[in-house]
Amino acid sequence: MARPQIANQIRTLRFMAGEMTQAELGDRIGMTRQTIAAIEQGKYSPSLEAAFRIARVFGKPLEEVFQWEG
Amino acid sequence: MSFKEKVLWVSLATTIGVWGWYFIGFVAALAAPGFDPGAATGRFLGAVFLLVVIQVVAITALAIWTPKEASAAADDRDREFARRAYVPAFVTLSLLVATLTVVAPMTIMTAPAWLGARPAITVAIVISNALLLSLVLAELVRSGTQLFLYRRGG
Amino acid sequence: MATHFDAPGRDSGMAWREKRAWLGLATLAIAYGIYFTNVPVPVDGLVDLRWLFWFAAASLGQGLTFGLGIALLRWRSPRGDYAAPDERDRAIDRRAAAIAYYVLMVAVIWVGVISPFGTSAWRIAQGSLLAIVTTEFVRYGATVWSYRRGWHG
Repeated sequence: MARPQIANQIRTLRFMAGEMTQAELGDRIGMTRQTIAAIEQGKYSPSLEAAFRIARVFGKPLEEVFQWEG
Repeated sequence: MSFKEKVLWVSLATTIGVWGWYFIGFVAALAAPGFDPGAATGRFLGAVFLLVVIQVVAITALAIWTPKEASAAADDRDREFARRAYVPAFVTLSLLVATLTVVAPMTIMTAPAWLGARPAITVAIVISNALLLSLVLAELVRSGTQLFLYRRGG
Repeated sequence: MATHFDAPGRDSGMAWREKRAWLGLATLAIAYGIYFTNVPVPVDGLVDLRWLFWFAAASLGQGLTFGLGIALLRWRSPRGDYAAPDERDRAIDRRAAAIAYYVLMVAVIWVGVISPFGTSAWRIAQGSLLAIVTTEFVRYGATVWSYRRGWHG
């Protein structure tokens, strides 16, 4: 199983952002709903650019969205 | 220029040089009267030996010249460029082999027309060399793609 | 636990390209499974033209069913799902291509360089077809595996 080293708070932040769906977040940053789901489940680590785009959607600093566990 | 990039240049140059020499020789031998399958096999083994020796010597020399770079592990950029090069290389190899898969039986069927006085085993040798050429071209695409990415900066 | 704000809508939660890979696995296995168990092996020097029928049937059959399957998948999927690949799709595609490249290289070396010492031209030709089919199977398999188990690029 691919071992995630980066945890994230995306699901919580989506809920707090007016219950944004995975599809809505994906549309805003150019990713599919399934990729957003994979990021939340720790099955995929987004690129640095994608991580910044996600953080910008929620208006949060990167460290509040993603946490390094390596 | 990183060590990895230097190694790629060595690989590219030796692949073109050695296999270029081999395939030119093979086509010339095939076109000439009295094609000798044994000599063709010997030439192939010679090319493999030459390639290995030249690359080992060249890369060892590079490593002695820049020991610190040579012992460094591949970094993110090296790994990313290597990964990106596999797609065009795979497309090249699979298209060539797929084409051969269709052309080869036609080659076999038409063999009586073009074999002439050459031994029957020539057909198998021609098809094998076509497969070998596919491998060489795919490796050139893989090295070339990585070098393009290094030069362009990603 | 799925909530209303995670509702998948019309899709099953499986990435579109993963569904495509499953379709590829199925059509390859059926079409070329039938081909390789039925294609007549001629005596060397006498090519059996029935080969052409079997090859056309396998390649057209696989191509048509794959194409129909893709059309059906697109019809059943939200448009955004099969739009341009995103970075995860590209990362998985690269991984599958890398694995498949080495499989094909080994297969071609075996078929084209090692085994010709003592085999017919016909078997070399069939061997190269088997190499391609096996490689595509491995590529689709690696794609499915990466989507199922996760791949961090």
